Amino acid sequence: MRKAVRYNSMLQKESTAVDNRRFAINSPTVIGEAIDGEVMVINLVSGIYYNLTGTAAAAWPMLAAGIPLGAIAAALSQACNADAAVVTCDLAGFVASLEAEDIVRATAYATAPAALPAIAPATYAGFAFNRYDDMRALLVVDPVHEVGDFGWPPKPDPPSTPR
Amino acid sequence: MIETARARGELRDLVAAMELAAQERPIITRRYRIAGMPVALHCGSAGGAQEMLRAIEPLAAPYDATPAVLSLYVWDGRGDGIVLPESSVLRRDDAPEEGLGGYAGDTLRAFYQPVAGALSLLDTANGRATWWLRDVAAAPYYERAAPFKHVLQWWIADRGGAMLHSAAVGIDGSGRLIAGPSGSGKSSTALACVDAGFAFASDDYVLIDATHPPHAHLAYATAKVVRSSLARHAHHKSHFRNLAMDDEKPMLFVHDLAPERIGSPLALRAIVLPVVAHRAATLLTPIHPAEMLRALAPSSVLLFPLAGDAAFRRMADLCRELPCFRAELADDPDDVAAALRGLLADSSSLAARAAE
Repeated sequence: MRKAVRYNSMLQKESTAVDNRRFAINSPTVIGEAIDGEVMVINLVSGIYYNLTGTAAAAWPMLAAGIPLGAIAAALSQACNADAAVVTCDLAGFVASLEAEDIVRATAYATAPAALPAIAPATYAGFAFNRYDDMRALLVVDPVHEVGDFGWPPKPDPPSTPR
Repeated sequence: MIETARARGELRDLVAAMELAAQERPIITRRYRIAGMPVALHCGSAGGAQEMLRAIEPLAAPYDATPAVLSLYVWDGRGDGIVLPESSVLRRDDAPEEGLGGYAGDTLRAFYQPVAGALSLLDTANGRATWWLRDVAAAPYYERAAPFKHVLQWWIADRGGAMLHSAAVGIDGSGRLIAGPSGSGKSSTALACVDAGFAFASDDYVLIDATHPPHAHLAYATAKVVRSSLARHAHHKSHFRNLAMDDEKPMLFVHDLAPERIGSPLALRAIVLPVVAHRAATLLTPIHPAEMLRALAPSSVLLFPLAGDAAFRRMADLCRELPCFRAELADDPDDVAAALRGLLADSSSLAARAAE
């Protein structure tokens, strides 16, 4: 099942203090790959996967590098010619959501060279990602990755002893 | 991934037990070429281990004297009389409640499937591996269809490749990777292409190497279809092995029906995402690499513990490198095969449209 998540507080402009928190990808549980202007993220334990688009995809490599949120927000607001306070607020909500999904975790240090990557100019439309949980059935204890005509088979009862 | 000091110790104990078995038990060694590389399979000869090798029969290379880069011991625990030592790896003490819970320690990889009763072990440092089945006679049919797939995934990922949950077929050495989740039409498309004269590399699991262009290699000569589509495959009825087993997907070995169309690597030229659409004519539409990766990666990554990151990168490379298409399938298998046959000629122009 797909669930779309979007953080776009265009109408809630607030004065926000510089946010110096840093985050890191929750590896090795979480893996991510940028492709074609999107980022695909897979949680290997939960089986949930995500695709990040637009500004969220642009933010991903900076988040992964442990760049402070304030610097990420500044870079994105400049690239998108958007209100810095709005971007800061949206980014905080977006990152909180990633943290709640165990995709990122707080860290004290940068995890990669801290230079900001070049960001292609774009129209700001908030931070959006899609969450998919249709593959969770693969992650049963004994992966019976066979489907019958009507979907996943029921998980059989395990034997009483592994031998 | 589970990597703890205790796990490392327990993994070493398991490896030691398997090494002892290899010294003490009678074995029969067979040689194969898997993904073009020399592999030795050492099967316990007192049990039914050799019965599990039917799916890789076309890869046999009995006269290959090249030193094997992978030595895999295959045991029938019951028939060969091999009992595994007590181990937290087998009890899955540290495994997550969800998730496959493979164990890693230094160069060792291990994954235990309690229901199938299958232990996969690989030491990437020396290329020695074990696939132990609790009882071959009771092994699930899907393990016969794709034996020791976790060992092969770790092994190929260690060489920059990946085992993908995909089909692959080709013409004149030029391959098409057919991606998509179970039930999306991969097997039916692959069998339609075999019937039309294509070479066969996979209907479910395929090995992709690290070359450019990437090559698809046969991992298993198995083809499985959903029971509701059997009428479409009635001409292969005599080759299906398990029609009497209502809870199993009907399965055949492609080398039984088309041995000449198996075994050669295929240089991949396109990735196709089939969609069962019941159209009068198959419609091919370019799609973006990100959409293809969403179709290709989740099941390929999540099916295999301990190889996700490397395999994911290889899949992303494939989607960037190759033109990607959605195929809305016709009901007529000849039309499906003709569409994929024509894909190579049209792929350049279609790919250009995809980039627009």
